Amino acid sequence: MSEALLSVQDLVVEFEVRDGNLRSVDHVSLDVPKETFMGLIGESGCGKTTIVQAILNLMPENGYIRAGRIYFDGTEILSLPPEKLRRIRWEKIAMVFQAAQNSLNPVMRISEHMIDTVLAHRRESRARILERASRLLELVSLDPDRVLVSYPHELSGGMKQRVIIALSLLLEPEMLILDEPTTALDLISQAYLMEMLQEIHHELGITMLMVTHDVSNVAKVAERVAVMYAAKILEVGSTEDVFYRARHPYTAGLINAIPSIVGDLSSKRPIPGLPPSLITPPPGCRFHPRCPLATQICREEEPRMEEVGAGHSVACHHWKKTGEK
Amino acid sequence: MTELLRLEEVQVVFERGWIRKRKGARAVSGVSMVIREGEIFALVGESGCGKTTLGRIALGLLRPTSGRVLYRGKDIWSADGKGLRPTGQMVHQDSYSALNPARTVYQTLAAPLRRYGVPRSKLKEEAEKLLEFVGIMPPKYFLNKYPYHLSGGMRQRLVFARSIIPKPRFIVTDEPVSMIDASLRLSILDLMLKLNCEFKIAFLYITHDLATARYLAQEGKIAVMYLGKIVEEGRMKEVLERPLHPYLRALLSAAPVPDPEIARKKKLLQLKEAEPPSAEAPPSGCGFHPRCPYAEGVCSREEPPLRDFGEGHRGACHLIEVLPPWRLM
Ligand SMILES: Nc1ncnc2c1ncn2[C@@H]1O[C@H](COP(=O)(O)OP(=O)(O)OP(=O)(O)O)[C@@H](O)[C@H]1O
Ligand SMILES: Nc1ncnc2c1ncn2[C@@H]1O[C@H](COP(=O)(O)OP(=O)(O)O)[C@@H](O)[C@H]1O
Ligand code: SF4
Ligand SMILES: [Mg+2]
Ligand SMILES: [Mg+2]
Repeated sequence: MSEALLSVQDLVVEFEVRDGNLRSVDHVSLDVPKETFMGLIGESGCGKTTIVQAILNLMPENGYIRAGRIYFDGTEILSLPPEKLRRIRWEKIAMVFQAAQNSLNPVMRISEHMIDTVLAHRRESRARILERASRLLELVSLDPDRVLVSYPHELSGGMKQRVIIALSLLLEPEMLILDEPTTALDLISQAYLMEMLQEIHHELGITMLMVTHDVSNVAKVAERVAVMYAAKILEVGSTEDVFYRARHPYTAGLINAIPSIVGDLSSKRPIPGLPPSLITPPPGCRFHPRCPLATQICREEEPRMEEVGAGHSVACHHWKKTGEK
Repeated sequence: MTELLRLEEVQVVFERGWIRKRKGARAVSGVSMVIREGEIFALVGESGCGKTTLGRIALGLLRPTSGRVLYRGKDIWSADGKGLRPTGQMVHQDSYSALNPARTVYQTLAAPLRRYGVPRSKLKEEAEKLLEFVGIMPPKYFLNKYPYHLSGGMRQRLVFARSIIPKPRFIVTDEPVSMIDASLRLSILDLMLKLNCEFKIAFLYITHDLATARYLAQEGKIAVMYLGKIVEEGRMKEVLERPLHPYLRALLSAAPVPDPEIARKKKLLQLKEAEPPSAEAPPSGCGFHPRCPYAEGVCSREEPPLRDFGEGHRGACHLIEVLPPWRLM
């Protein structure tokens, strides 16, 4: 595997809430190899968005990065002065936030959005910006002549989402992070968007990290997948490792809980129980209250991430038994 | 199976504008369908196609602009059908707003139990039985909890517990699992299957998600809606194996699957337009023609009728006989 472009190491993030400290990212490490399309999956509330916010140090007011280092292309970025970090954001790492469609300014034409975005970071002629914007809009299957002169409300949800992606690519970043890019889109628009992201990845060789709660969404496009549960990453591997050779009981259970339009449904089962509270998580392995393999050690000792195959890591005491029936 | 509910040429036009009423969107346009006792019927379509509106019509909550709604053979909106309301219930996606936040689990169930004739002395016992039945365990522990103490899945179970008190013959569920964690979604669908199996309650399951529709209505039926019309219907197994309508084919080709090999092999059907037209200015002829890759002249001129292709598998497309054979991969 190629070296990591982005490397998150031992990250801890907490929100101060009324009932105490809510640790939504708990000692998480994650490598995104250069030019890879990586998916980060997990159920809603498990901490995916928090990781992404922390990567760019864009925490909300009550959120605190308590520990950890984040390397981008070898440079630790959390300790950079704000001005330097701002340059890395957008110029090196672009980001498409959850529900980003609503972030377009309703009284600005798309062309003005494009120009403003670039001029906020560097000097460049309007003509050159618009030329690049046109190429990117074509890349996302939009008609530049029509879209550049439009106001946001004249575009559908799917079109706005594609405009946002074109905007994020304007500064020619090396990495694109997308948080739930397909929510609020209709099924067919979702499929087009995913296909388009795959094309962008191939054509521009850009490194991608796509965050989603929809497990099926990553199966087609991702090369590697990380699985998150209750503020922890439990398993990381190639998409095939995760979908066909899951070694963590949660991953296996989650995939077996997702119905499909094809294949056998008779073995599909929900996972019993509920995800834990992040304010008072269970001791030991966080999945133990729901896990079919749990034993005494699982209730007492937290499992560490272990390499179980080439590029495949799992945090489970009994990973060897997963999948055996 | 005997017929429970029949919709005949149902149409709903919502008026728009406060001061000068203008004719607005035709939310439902000439829909006919039959739901039988104990049947599971999935109604699938993308946002705004009219699913919720049709669900409300089926329950007698909304009077159609034209067309008839027959419950066990009687027109519920005719003079002599007055007062006749289908004994159905609605469960929608937001279980939180469906429950009174100031009422405990016990109070939520006790009021309707009283209304349906359970004596005061038996209320607690009956409430516990209901909770146990829908999988809220242990019941005693939950009786005095408030809705905000419950997880989304638990709340949805409580809504189901309450909805079966009037002994409904059918339940309309509108995206009941879209706000439930993925790992727990099947458990709510399984609860619906249990209610169907034990009490023979019929279900109209409204969703945009083909995969959960397939799971729930494996042995039942599916109808696919597009711009206020049913464009295809039939038995679930048959319809998903041999989809007739290009729109359903597009939906199937776009549906993500949790299996990388299949997902990569699946070909996305390329439409002429990715986005649906607005319901306020529906296209002429077949509503799908501006997006349909197969469309011919007739498609923009004439509206295709729903035609039967055997055993109740029906499709509304002019070109079904000449479309290429269907392949998912
Ligand atoms: N009360 C109303 N007044 C005016 N228009 C309405 C009303 N209710 C629905 N509509 C319109 O009717 C059409 C169908 O709406 P409906 O809510 O039935 O769709 P749906 O298929 O349930 O969509 P979704 O998947 O988003 O819930 C839409 O164009 C909607 O805007
Ligand atoms: N601004 C905030 N204040 C308090 N808690 C928050 C805030 N943002 C997120 N959280 C909590 O942190 C946890 C993880 O949230 P998030 O990262 O948004 O999850 P995901 O993106 O996986 O759905 C959740 O329990 C959520 O309620
Ligand atoms: S560590 Fe134990 S409880 Fe946790 S997933 Fe593995 S077997 Fe289950
Ligand atoms: Mg999120
Ligand atoms: Mg609806």
